[in-house]
Amino acid sequence: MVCVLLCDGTNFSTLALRASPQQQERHFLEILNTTLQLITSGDATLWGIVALSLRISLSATLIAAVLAIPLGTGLAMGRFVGRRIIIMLSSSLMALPPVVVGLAIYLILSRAGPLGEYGLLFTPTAMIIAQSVLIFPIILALTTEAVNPLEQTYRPLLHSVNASHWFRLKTLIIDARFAIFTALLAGFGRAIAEVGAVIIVGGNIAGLTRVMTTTIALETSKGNLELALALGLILISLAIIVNTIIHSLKSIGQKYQRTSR
Amino acid sequence: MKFLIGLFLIIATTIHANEQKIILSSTTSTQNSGLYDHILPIFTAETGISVKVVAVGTGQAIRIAKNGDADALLVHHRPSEDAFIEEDYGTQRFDVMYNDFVLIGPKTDGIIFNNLNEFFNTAQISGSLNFVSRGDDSGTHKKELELWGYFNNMPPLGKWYREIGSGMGAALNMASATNSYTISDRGTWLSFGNKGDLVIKWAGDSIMQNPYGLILVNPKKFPHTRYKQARIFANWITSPKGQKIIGDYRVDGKQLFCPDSDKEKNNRLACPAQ
Amino acid sequence: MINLNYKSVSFSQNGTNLLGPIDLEINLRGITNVLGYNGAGKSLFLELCHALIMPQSGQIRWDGQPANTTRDSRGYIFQHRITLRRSVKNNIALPMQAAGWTKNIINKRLDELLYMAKLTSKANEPASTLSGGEAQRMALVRALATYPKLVIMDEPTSSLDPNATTEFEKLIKKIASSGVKFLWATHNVTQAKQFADDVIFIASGKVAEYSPGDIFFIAPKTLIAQQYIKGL
Repeated sequence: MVCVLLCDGTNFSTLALRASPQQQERHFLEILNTTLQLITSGDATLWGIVALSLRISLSATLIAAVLAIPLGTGLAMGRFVGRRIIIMLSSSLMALPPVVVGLAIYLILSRAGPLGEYGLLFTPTAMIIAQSVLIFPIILALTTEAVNPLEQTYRPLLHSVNASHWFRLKTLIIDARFAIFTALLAGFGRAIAEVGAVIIVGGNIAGLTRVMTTTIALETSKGNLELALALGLILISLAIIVNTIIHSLKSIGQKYQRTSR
Repeated sequence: MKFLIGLFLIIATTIHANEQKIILSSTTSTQNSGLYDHILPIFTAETGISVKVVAVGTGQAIRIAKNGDADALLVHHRPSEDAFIEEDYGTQRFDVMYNDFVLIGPKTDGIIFNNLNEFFNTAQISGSLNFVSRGDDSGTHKKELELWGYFNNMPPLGKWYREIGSGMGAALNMASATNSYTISDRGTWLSFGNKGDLVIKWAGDSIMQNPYGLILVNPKKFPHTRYKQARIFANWITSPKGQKIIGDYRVDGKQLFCPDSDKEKNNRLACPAQ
Repeated sequence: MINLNYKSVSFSQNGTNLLGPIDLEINLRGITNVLGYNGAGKSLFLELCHALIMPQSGQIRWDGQPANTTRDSRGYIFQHRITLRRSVKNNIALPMQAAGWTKNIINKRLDELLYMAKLTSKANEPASTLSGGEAQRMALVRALATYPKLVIMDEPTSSLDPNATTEFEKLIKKIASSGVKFLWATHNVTQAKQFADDVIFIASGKVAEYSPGDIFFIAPKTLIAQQYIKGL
């Protein structure tokens, strides 16, 4: 039984479970057709949803990066007490299910919670916060991993020229920038694809906090599977575009990044 | 420290103009019926108040309102609604509308029964059919268990009874894929896009009625709630105009909801219109 | 002349004593070569001198100041090339950037240094594309960037071919003639014979001998040094 596209064994497989090969092909064509119609129709709601998804995930990536990149580099540099524990903790946090992160942020931002007075629940801001928290450990861990080998190589040289901690940090971040950028994109990928966190703190409100993934979830629950898959195709295309950008940037940057002979 | 965090958060937030809005905590089944998409823009056009609907499972919807994260609550489980008022979370309850639950099953499985009593007894004994339960403590789920208890005297047990712990859509998807029976609210069923071989096998008994109530969140408990606007919404939706809009809402030419706020008048109406 | 003082200095790792105890009081002039068999402790000695590692006991002072506070008055070259993933120009600029010099001054100094190392045409090439000899010349002028009084070198020519070695030695001669002192570990006795004004001979983690170059190579005092210069 061939499963079509975004199958995860639960809802989507129903599409193909009882379908004959001809029906499967029809389904597939229907989905492609729906996708093209969606894209070319210039439907304002759809593009509003795409724009919101990008805005939220890009903001979250930026915020998480500003915090995680210096910290990740610092972890690669330092040998302080508790460093191993921080590294281990952040690696484990990467496995946090998004829905758990969403729940935690919900409890904090809820009126009944510690930061309730700011009325941030069910807003795009809450979604940005939730995704920043979600992807922070990823960017942190990948940054440390990217910087570690470079730090090993550079340490004696930087030590010998009496570089300050701050100067060392700057130098490492700049010289490891392409690997760090890849870490950023991994974080972005996780953010744009998740649904558990944003649906809880955002509330999936039409026109306000509805993004691609929550729309897909909604349409699935309404049984509009073709539409959901078409949206999924658009999401995949977005991801492909983003990844293509990584790879072309990476090859531009190859010039200085070859390891010494 | 808290002040600094708050300052940062406020600065980070997009600055919205002083918007008139309320947050309505409601259920996915109500949302999925399309009623809100139909009726709320009319309300907003008239009053300038936008209604932001957070649609989740019944339990979660009530919890959100209890946390003070919503200005009003619209669900369909009377005992929970009464408790909500009793515990002082809400000030007032309004009858808004009702629809019914329907028994969904495969058209061509050849199973015949003359009433619900027969159905629920046969199902348990013969094991010749499959049943999908939402198993998520929602209004629909509670109604389903009520039906089992009423007709069968025993909670359902066996491999043929599958509790999936999910929403109505997921339950219908699974029922559709596995040719199973399930209980659904009529609204979600009518607008469901993946019916497959399923049809309504039984409906109409009074025990299947599903009334909806709107409750205003208590401003004494949560001073920041937009009580005034919520009141305007409550008055509007229970006004003859609002009620007519509800009654006139159609999916595939079929009426989904019956207006409920004027009991005297409404009892004389044939509802749902066939 | 630069005064170097070791007071009861010992260095150990994993419980094993690798160097010391060393007591030393010398005044460096011109080029001082550090000689010894492999594993005798030459590298450790140089690293301690520049406070790249800290001794378990004892103190190291340059002109009375602790070694770890005076790094900016010295340059250091490692045995194996360490280059930043940047252009040649930006590699040489490193010590000046670390010291917070302004861009204008850095650029002026860069022109001088590139010329000295005969690397002007390669200024904007990635440093990783340099040959072994070019890379060590780059390391040398990099070490000179902030006008140090002394340059410490750990076997800089050991992995270079004869041509590259010659070019490098030419550069050293030129720099030494301008007054910069060198503390230079090498395993090449011929090279040391040619360059050493003084010799520090290290054996089994101790300074076995310290004498002027001409004396050391004709009549070293210790047996082990005698064996060493004979190539045994």
